Amino acid sequence: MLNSPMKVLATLSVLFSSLATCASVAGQRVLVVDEVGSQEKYSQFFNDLKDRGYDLVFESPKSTSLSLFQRGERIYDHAILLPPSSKAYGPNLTPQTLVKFINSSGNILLLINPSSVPETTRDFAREMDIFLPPKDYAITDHYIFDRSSARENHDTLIVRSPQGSPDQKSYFSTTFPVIWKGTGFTIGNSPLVNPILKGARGSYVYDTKEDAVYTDDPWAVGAQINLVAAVQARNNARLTVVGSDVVFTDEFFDKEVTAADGYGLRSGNREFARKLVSWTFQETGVLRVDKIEHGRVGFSERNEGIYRVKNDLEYTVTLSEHTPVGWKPYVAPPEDRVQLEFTMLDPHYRLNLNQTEPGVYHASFKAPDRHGIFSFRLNYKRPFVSYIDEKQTITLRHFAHDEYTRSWAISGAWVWLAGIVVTIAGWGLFVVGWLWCEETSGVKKKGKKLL
Amino acid sequence: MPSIRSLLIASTLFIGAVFAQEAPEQVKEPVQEEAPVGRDLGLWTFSGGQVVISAKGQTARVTEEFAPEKPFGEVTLKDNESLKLALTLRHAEGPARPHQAFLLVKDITSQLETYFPLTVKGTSGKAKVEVPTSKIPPVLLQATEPLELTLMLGSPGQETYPSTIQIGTLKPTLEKPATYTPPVRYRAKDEIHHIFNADPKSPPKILTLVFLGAVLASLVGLVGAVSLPSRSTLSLSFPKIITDILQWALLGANLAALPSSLKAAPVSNLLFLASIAAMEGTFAMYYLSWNLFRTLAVASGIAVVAVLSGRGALRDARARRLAGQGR
Repeated sequence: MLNSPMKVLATLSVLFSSLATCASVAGQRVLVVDEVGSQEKYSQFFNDLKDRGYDLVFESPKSTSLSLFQRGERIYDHAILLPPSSKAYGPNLTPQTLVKFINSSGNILLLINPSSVPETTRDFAREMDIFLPPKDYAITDHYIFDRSSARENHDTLIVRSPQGSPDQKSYFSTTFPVIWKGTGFTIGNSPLVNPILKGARGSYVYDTKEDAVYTDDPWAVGAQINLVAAVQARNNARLTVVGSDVVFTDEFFDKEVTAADGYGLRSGNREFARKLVSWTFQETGVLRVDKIEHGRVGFSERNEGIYRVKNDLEYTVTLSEHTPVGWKPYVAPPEDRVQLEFTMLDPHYRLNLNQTEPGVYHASFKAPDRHGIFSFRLNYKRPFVSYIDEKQTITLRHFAHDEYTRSWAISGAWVWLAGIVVTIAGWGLFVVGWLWCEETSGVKKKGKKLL
Repeated sequence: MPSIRSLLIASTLFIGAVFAQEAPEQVKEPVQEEAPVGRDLGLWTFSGGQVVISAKGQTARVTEEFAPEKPFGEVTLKDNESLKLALTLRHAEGPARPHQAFLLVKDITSQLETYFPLTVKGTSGKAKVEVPTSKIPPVLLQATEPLELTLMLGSPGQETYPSTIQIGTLKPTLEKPATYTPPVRYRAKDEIHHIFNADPKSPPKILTLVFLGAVLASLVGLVGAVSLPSRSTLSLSFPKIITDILQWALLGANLAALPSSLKAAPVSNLLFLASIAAMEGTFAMYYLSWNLFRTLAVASGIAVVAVLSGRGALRDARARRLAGQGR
């Protein structure tokens, strides 16, 4: 994988095209689809990106030069789609184009303006198992609203930063809560889609136009609401959908809010935006397999192509994770397990690997008593980290004729072995008797009968 | 409503300015006041709560009153039945209509929760909600613990104080348990360990040793107790069958011809015997370590010796037999 010429070419072109080092492993070319004035509105957000080595190209959705591809090749590594002022993104950013961009490993950050969601955006999101609410649906919560700016209409919420769980990596926790104003959406059951920022128990998404007085039919309620969710496609391309277009503006980066108990809180939006972009643009959560070794326990040869049934085998894999400052050993979350499968059609083994030192995972096991073509399969797919599916195929041979247990070691065979020994001894004595025995008169008769 | 909006923005700016000044002192560890998990009574409340459980077109099976301070106990819900709640929502003093009035149904074990919005009649506060069994998601129907029913009431505006009120528990008792297959998630799977075929087993050692003894005894029986004193003593002290087993010795096997044959044809006699012993030794080596090719080579060498020396030795024996020696 590392030796593929494409990758080498890509790396070289990155090296020569600019001397600036970029934090992302996927590249530094970013297309920002925006409207006039957004650069001032989002100045801190864009500056943070430039500081990390991204080359930003700003284009209006209506611009004729706007294109994600040139001669069939992707010319941007990442795209940030701010909501268009008109009804749609235009002919250059159809859902099909965006899907093609993701299929060719481009990453997308999509921001939604609740009061004007283009139908094409909704189609694109639906294709990704994300269900955006209709126009003018907004989120509210009568518990966690900001007591200073949203005292009356409760539309600005103080949302707890994502904490992650003991079996999942989380790259999005912030010191201060996220200040939210916008909408929320629901997601489907696909394992590729994962929530990043969720609604609180009292939150609900309602129609601000039709249900201004009473909420008859909310779009989503409580933890079903996703404020930010992400799709990691099977090719590890990432799409992050943010249910608001204002939370990354300078206004929200600098905002101070008041919690229910009257205390002031700073905004965690800038930190959250930075972490969200880091993840979406593949600075964080990118895994790499450094080394895979398998062999027989007690032997120094590694990665032999053939083993025997019932051999004691061991397997070691070294994993690294990309961080904004470079590659570091990958340490799995405490309740997660890196697993090895030993498969021939079906897994004969699925073993939890032990971490012997940071980033090094090891397991040993006895090869099954079935001969055939087996493979060591490392199938590590988890939310928010890039997928690993590595396979090493080996032959598992049966016992050779001289590798079985010898018959003297089998107690049941002793009788038969003794039979052979007795026969040989008897035969030897018979030969001696035949050669040198003389008939004596006393037993002459009987001897005649017998011999 | 441009006036209200500008007012809001003005107040935001004002408060923002205040906090910009005071921020260093006021910023504290971020603690969130999310909707509480249990009961939390704000200004929103209700009165005249009634829960009814009935099947369509039939009289109520269960009818119970409840109030914010007095939740109803566990009620059961069967197939084709509905849970119906009727109550009057109030804010502070009088009946009112909140913006948010949801019945939340929660499985305590999995923490999964679903919602049913209440229908409220105008501003009278008269609210009701009907939850048929079929509308409850299967994942909640298969819960082992009773489902927790909570009312969440709230509305925008200053100091409206929302409420989260637990009103009782619901136990679905279905004839056929709900089937729910959890969606695929990327996570660690259960371990698999290969189950090996059982190792081949040997019979009990004691049995083996008994038969081993019997086999070895047959050799003793064949050869006979050569050292026994004489035949007459034997026949007196042992039954007939035993004397029959001890064949050769009793038949009078002896090595009487050895000196004369060694004198007549010493080389061929000894070589013949040695070649037979060597042949057996070759097979023993084949069993222990040799391969077939080596065995065949050695055995064919020995065979030549055996044939040549055997001719001499057997001719000598034949000559002695024909001469009737020792008769």
